[in-house]
Amino acid sequence: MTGLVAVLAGVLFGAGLVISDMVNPARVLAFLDVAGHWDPSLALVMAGALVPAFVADRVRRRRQRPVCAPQFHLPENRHIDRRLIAGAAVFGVGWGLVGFCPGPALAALTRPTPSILLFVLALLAGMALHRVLHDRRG
Amino acid sequence: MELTTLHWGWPLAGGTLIGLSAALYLLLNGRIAGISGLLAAATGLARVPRPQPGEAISSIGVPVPAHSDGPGTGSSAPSRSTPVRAASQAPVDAPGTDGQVHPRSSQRSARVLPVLFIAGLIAGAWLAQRLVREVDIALTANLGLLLVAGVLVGYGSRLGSGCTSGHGVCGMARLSPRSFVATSVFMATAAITVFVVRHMVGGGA
Repeated sequence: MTGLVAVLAGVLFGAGLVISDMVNPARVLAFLDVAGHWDPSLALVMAGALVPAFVADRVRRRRQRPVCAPQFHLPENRHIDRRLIAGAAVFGVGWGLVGFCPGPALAALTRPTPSILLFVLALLAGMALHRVLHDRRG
Repeated sequence: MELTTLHWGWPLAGGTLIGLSAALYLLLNGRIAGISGLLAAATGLARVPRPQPGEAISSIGVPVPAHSDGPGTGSSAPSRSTPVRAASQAPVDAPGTDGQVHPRSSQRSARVLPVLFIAGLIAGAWLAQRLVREVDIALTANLGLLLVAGVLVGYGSRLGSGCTSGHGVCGMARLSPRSFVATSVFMATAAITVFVVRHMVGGGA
């Protein structure tokens, strides 16, 4: 059942990326271009997304376990540390350079041009680089 | 670069779908719909550290960092995930909230569910283009820029434990202070980057 839920959630997410035009990096960059011809779309996407997500989290707090799985698997680190800030800063620079983050890049694989493929490969390489550099435990 | 005007209904509707996705994944599967984490898990790039003897393990089977203030899902209700002390070197699965240990399911879930989610994501994106609206994926960056941007996004999302969906949607919806900080930081550096590239250097994507 959890597998079916994962697929369904994925489908909704991917559809949402296309319908909102977040899969189009130019639309994202236009939002980030505060000094230029500004496009508010990304803000509307966030607003639209936060409503159901917030409601779901309120419901979650009253539950002992998820509906289809034995337990919740939620991040437990609550410390705001340098890694968080550094990581977010680096992520933001990369995002601002092209206008792609992981979700839209994967959705863009539905139109697999060499540029999109290169970005996704580089994305994976970046993740692998982090693993290699930070994997201190056995 | 011509960007067509988009009626506000589209981003609002699309955003709502994304929020619904996160809502379902949270309430039904009990997990965060953060694409960077899901992608790393799906491709085997997510590090699952081996717990040391005596080290506390969180409910997701990973050691609780020494500097964290212990279990807490942001809920004011009693904690639903109590750390368990590891008895040996071998990876141990913490009991679920039902008191039972689920070793196989949690290990399989850690890889299979992300693969299924991402497969669904690509399928959903494809279906939406066929049934709802066509998109123009305007990508004008040169190869060097794509490479650098991709590596930074990949590296940064792992270092920062999340991206726009993980922190921006799921994290902020949970009222996580870490996510509010992360989102503010990456929005700021992204905007600064665009400003520098477009209005100072006069190039970029």
